[in-house]
Amino acid sequence: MPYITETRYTRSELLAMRKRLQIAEKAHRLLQMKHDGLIHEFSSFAPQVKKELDFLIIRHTRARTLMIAGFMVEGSDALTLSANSVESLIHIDLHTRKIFGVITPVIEGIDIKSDLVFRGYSLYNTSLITDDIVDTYEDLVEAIITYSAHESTLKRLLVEIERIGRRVKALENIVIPQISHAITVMSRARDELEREEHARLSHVKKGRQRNDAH
Amino acid sequence: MLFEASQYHRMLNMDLNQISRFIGENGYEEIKELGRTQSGITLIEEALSRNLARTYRNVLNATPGSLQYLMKRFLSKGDIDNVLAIMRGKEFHIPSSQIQKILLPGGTLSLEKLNQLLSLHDNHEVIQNLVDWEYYPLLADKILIPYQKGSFADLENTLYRHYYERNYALGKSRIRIWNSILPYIRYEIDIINLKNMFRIKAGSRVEDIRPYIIPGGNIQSSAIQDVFTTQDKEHFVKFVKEAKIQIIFSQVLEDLNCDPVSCELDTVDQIWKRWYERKVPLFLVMVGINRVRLHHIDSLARRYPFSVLPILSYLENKRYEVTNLRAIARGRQFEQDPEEIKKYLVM
Repeated sequence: MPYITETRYTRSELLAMRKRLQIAEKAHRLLQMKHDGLIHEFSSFAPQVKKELDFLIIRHTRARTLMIAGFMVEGSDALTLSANSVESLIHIDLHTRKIFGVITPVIEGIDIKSDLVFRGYSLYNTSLITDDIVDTYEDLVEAIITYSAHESTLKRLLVEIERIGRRVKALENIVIPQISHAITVMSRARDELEREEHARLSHVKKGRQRNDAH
Repeated sequence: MLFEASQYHRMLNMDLNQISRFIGENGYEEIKELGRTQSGITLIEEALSRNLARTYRNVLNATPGSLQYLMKRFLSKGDIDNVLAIMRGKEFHIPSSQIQKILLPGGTLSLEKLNQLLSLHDNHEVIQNLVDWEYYPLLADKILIPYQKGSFADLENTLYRHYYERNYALGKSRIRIWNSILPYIRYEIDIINLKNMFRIKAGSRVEDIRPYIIPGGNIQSSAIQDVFTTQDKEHFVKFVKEAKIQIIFSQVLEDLNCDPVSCELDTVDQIWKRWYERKVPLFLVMVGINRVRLHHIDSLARRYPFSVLPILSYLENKRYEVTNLRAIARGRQFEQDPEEIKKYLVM
């Protein structure tokens, strides 16, 4: 479907069209800059998030390995009892920040790392593997929180890049060419009109001169 | 009869069904009792727990006179675990069925008594129903209603400290049959204190470790406090050598077949490095320490054959047998390599 559907070949319409072209070109320039900026932000952020994902997988593997070791050394009953004894709670702080106008989440964990003596389980009834498991899972939670915030940011940036990219392409390939084409057509039509007017006026002038001579 | 190393090695290549059949045929009658309703790892773990509890109770019933008193004292540790599990369940609204699975009625409180406690409404009623229990005064004194965060850990620490202090007091008594256990109790207290020292150093920012130290060990609590705050390697090395930890760690590292590079390093250097970095020794080292500890109890039992130590040695060996069987079963469940599982066995 063409962007410009109806055109009147008036001077005011031509001026309005030129104004629209200026605005479209300016919007294109700005959106292109925003698009480039978002891509730059995304490409500099993505490797970090990839590293965080790898780190998360490593921590998860370690937590799983330790959990297996915990089941082997302590048994499920003792681990269940220790898990039920833990009283320290993790708090999550959630707020937002803007990157190139894109609202992205900032997730921060508070009190993720707990002190051994305040965890809630006894030192005399548990072993070192319990400490190791708790430490590893705290590290895992920390990695999950960091990764989830950054992954969410990355996804939102990606959605915005796609959205802005579509607009830039639309301006570049549809809006600006159509307005330019319309201006060209209007200019030509107006030139033609002016030539016709000029010829008409010449004929009128010649007719008057002939009448005056008679 | 306890399992031998060759039997463990055979089990390392079995699947869960074969393991349950094998242990069922070798003294774990509970497998047959529970086999109708349960299967797999649940069956094995439940049977192991019940068998251990039954062994404790059989030994308790079989020992006469003052030996029975001593056994009661030692097995009361299980009571602390059970009562605390029930109280935690009540406080944090954990389903009774889940708590029931955790209970190991191998102490002085019978299964009927534990079930009765479990059926009560709240912790106030639980405490009121434990008036005859030897730890009741501590329980009534420490637990606060309404509950305050950290009370259970505090109470549990107090009860365990009291448990070890009373055992130490028994060992210090002039009754000959009792005081033969003193070297064992001291060694036990030392191991617990040293483990906790490393754990607190790695996982906590507390400066004063004395509240967590059980008095009565060969290593004085003041010496542990001194070394706990030191940043001086020489001081630490001196402590490690004087406390004879180096020997334990050396044995453990040998047992673990550590890689040549690690073995070339001095044991003390390795301990210092992890200590300085506020890291606990690897948990496999702790498995090794359990191995050394078990050998030590066995040697003490041989030295004092007419004391309670042979019985304690048997019970400890039985406990580690259950731990080993669980490690094998869980290891096979998680498809661990037999050689890897072997590292967790205390033999």
